[in-house]
Amino acid sequence: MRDSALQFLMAQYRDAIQYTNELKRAIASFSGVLPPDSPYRYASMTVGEAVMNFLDRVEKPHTIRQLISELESGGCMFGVIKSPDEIVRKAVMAFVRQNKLVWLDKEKNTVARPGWSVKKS
Amino acid sequence: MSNERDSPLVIKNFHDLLQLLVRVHFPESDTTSYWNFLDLRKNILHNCDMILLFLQVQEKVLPYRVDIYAAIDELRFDALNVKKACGKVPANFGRPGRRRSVKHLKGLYEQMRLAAVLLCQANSPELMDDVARALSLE
Repeated sequence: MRDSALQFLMAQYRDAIQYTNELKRAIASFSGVLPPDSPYRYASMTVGEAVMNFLDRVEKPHTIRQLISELESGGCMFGVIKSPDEIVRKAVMAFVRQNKLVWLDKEKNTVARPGWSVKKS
Repeated sequence: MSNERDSPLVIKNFHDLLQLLVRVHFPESDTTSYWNFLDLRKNILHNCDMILLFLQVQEKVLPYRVDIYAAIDELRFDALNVKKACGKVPANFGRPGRRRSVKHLKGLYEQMRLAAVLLCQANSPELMDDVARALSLE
């Protein structure tokens, strides 16, 4: 009983992994991104890439809360253990350290590309 | 993963890394005794070393993309920060009754955990929760 159950689960697991890899390869074969209203526009992007992609498209500073809402509506994957707020903040911090993004306020809530002014928001 | 006696340890992916990480038990209070701190420090340093070894390989195998390299740099920065904080032990800490605050270390370790989750999201998103659990503060 145990062996057959385990065998069934292992087979399902192997099939799922194979299927996932095939999907990844198929997705990678397409160039460009999905339109801005697609619910899956950020599904295959990293959090950092999705944030940069969104900010470059709208060209306006946004708060962390607005970024989370945008990323969630675009199907970005966050997992269930760490909150989207923590993950997005960390991704933004990594880009801030590389001077690709800047905080616009002391509370570290509003984020923008370097050179954007507060007025732009 | 290579764990033969004479060959260096090579951690190729998150699956291998997960097998090598150890659970870190932070005390419930913000302070801990000398011997508990040493035990805590041993496990934290082990995890930091595994992460740094893992990053050596990831730099070579992952495609060059700004977001992925930002995540790698962030994780390395945090792992080195945690190691640095572990190295700071006051000279008189070993005296009986002395307790050490681990609040700062806990904060840095949590940042390293988040950076690892972020890199995992870029590389193997299906393992994000496993990485967060493996580096959880108990």
